[in-house]
Amino acid sequence: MQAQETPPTVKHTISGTIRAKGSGESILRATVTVEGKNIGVTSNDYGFFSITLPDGQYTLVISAIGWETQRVDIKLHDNQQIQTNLEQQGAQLQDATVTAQARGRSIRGTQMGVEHLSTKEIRNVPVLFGERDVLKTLQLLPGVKPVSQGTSGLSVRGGSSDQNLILLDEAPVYNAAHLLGFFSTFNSDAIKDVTLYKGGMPAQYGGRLSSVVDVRMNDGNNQELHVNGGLGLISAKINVEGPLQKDKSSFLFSARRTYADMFLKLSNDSSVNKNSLYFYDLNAKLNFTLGSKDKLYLSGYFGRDNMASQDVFGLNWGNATSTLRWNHTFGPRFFSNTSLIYSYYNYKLRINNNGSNFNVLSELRDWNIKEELQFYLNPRNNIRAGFNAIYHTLNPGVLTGGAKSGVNDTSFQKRFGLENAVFVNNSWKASEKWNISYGARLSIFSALGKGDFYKMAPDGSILDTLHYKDGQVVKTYVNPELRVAISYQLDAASSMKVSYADNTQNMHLISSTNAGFPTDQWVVSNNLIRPEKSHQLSLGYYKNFREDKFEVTVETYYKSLENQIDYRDGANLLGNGTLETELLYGKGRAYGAEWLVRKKTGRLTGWVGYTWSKSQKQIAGINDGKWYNAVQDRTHDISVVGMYKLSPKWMLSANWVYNTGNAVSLPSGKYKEDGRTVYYYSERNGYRMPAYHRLDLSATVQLKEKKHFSSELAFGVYNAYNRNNAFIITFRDNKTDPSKTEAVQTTLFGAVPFISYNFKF
Amino acid sequence: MKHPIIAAVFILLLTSCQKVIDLKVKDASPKYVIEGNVTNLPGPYTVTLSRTTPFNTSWQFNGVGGATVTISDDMGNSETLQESQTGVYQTTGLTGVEGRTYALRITMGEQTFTASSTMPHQVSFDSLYIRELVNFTKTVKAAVPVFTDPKGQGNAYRFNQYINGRLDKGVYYQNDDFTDGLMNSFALLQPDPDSTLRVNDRVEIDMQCIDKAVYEYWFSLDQSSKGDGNGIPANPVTNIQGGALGYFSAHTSQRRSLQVK
Repeated sequence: MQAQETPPTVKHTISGTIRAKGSGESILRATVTVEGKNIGVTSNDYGFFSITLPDGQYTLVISAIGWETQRVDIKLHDNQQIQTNLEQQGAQLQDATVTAQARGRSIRGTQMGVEHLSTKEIRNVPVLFGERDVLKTLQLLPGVKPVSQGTSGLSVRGGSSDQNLILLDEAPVYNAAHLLGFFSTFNSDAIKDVTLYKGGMPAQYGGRLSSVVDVRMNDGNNQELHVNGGLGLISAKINVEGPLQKDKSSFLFSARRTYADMFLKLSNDSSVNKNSLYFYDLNAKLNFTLGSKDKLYLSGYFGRDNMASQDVFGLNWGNATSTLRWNHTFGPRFFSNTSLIYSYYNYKLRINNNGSNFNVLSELRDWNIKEELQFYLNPRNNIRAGFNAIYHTLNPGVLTGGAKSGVNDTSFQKRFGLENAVFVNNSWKASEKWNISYGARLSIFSALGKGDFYKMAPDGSILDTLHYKDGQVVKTYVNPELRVAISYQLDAASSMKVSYADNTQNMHLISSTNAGFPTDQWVVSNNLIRPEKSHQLSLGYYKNFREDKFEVTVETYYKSLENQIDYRDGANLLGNGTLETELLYGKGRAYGAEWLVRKKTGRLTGWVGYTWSKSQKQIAGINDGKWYNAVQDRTHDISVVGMYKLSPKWMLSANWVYNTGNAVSLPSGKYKEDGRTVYYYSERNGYRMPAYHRLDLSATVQLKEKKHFSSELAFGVYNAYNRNNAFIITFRDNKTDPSKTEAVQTTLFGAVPFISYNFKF
Repeated sequence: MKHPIIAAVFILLLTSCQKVIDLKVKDASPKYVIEGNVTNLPGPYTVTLSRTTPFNTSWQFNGVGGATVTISDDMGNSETLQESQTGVYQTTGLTGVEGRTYALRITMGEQTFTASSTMPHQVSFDSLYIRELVNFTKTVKAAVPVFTDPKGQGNAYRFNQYINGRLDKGVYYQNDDFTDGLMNSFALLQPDPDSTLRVNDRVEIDMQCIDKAVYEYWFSLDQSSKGDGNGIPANPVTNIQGGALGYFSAHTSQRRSLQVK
């Protein structure tokens, strides 16, 4: 028998990395299609792709939004590696925005409930104090809302802010807010790409119910040294990047600091000039190419907020994360990434008030290992599998006084948890019209000793205390999660999709205010606190009009939730060693419909989004056991974002938002106890805050350009028509007639102008 | 520890503004309100039974008359209170004693409300002084009640402050979670101008030793029911069974006063 050397069915693999010309940055989600055939693949989170085809001649079309499309002719008689460098469309600092808006939901892929943003897109959306912010830009998309006004906390499809998995280079960020939420921890200069999953998360993500916000840092330019920076009303920042060894390795360093507190220092009033309020953050990244098969990335983030009133009160908090990643290709069809991740969050509170002096320290630490394998089986099947293990250490609080502090040194028990997951997923192009992605994730969580755990009576009193030794398993929860997404192509310009996802959450944030304060306490599941679970079904319709100028998206979803946490009436959440006893558990449901119309090209780009939604809970012991609205329940939500390119130098932009007020509890009556007015609440969250709306305007102008230097000036106004939006409504006795009650509305921000200067060389 | 952070946000950002608004709320059906106290001072002790006032109406005491109100202790003493005016019921012979548990029972036809409270042993209110301290941006004067918490956790205290004979509406309470066995150094401090002491003011402090349930009542009232937006709005955690608002407290009471210099 003669071996057939080259039968017509012999296949070879083309693999490679897609990069940006000029900077060497990897390009994510670029599509590689084979001309004349309905086959294609997408580059992964590291710009890598692999496609296996029969022996022959092909033309590969490599395209990514915001980049010039490139065609590569290939004579395929053997496995081949190709390196593709795409050129930016319009090399200006500015121009990319015009087309970049198109990066959204593609009508072809199975993934739904997903939003991609690049920093270029974030650039032109006006925001508070002119500080560009990825999380606030996400809030302008349907289904995503700020948890509390002005803040960067996200409520995605009716979820609470702790139900978002916020990743910075794969490291979970536990408090993604600066200055109590008015700014996010992400310095947009250091960010390459942000992906938000609102539903149908791929199996490699897990651990939170509502969403995944996957933020990827730039790698750093491996071609030449670049410096850019900016000066704004409240902050200054600088970003330096360049090659360590051209084409092989690079570094990136970004720093940002606010200086609003400098203005406080100018005051003559000693009660004002001794206050401080600032934050800073640093992003750094190094990456090395080790031969043709290996690449190493080391990235880190460190941020700190500081708030102090004279010498009396001080609160500082911040996150630190670091990620070491190793990309390795086992042959042309296997891509592996191994990540070692560290996440840390802490806050320190200092009270030093003439006799009552003490400090409180609270911290949270994660050690995390993640392995993900991608196997490009053939052009129709792309398999991903891997595992993740996280060891959580929570130190809820250590209170230290001193000899004359008036308090005893106290420390609350540390809590430990081991969160493991294994996952597998296949993206299968079943036919020209059908795309199916199916997978599963197994979440295994163990609460570990050492520590005391409790048996609790239904009223919250402790019946028994159980002692566990170091490392002893207190309780293990195993939760299988199903992830399925199916898309059906109706015609060349439209498709229907359906997806289903289970999620499990074992880290829970206990917040007494819902405003996302740095002192809110994270807890891990244990024998009393059960894993939160969600099951989400969504259905969507996607259509492109007028040669893809316009895109229309309609998505609906229904989420049912288990083990949702709320607090007993009058719960004591601060400085409480047995928080478990203050919590109640029940179920939740969230459903809604999201409409989005985008104009992707032309001088005017932007979108109009509308969301109708509902988010409710039912918990025995709250609201007489009846369904009630979650705080973040808002019926209507509208956002209009427009960007207009007036001339090559001028860009104008505006956004307008409107939403139904948050659900709140307002008093139905009043009474007096020991001479004080007390309010009577007849139901939980039975009322609404006044509707919220706001218009922001901004303009960006390119300044005179020199050979190696370009700069721009951006200015605008937040809340342009000075709407007095209600932040909070409080109640008090009328001064002249104390038997009467006054409702007082507090507004945080009126019209706030801003200006900032950015440069690049 | 209250939320110093919230106040700090408002004060430090300095951009917030406030206005009185007209608010429409549903009028829920009135609910019973009970307030009952037994102290270690000579009686008579008072229990009031009333109903809530709708939110947008001027507050008035809507007393509920004709109820049978009894207070008994764990030593077998029991007394039916006399209605002195509509909704106000008073003891005639009962004397509160430290360490005893008191039971309150109110019946009106089919409706019954019960509560019990234990009067803690008195912790001596040794002295009172005024201290200057910083309250966000101002240096203010505040009263410090001096007492030494007995060893062993579980003690709780409440203070009423009277400034020139006027009750300060601030709610002051403490327990010994972090201060077990220590001499108190915490001042009675509230940001409200009505709680602020000025030179020459006459300050009188009523120090009460209260049990855990009563502490939780005042704590939750302060956190959730004063309408000041600090916590999650809710009714206070009551020790009354049967579906009424309010509390029943057996506590000790000691007073000290001084002139602010």
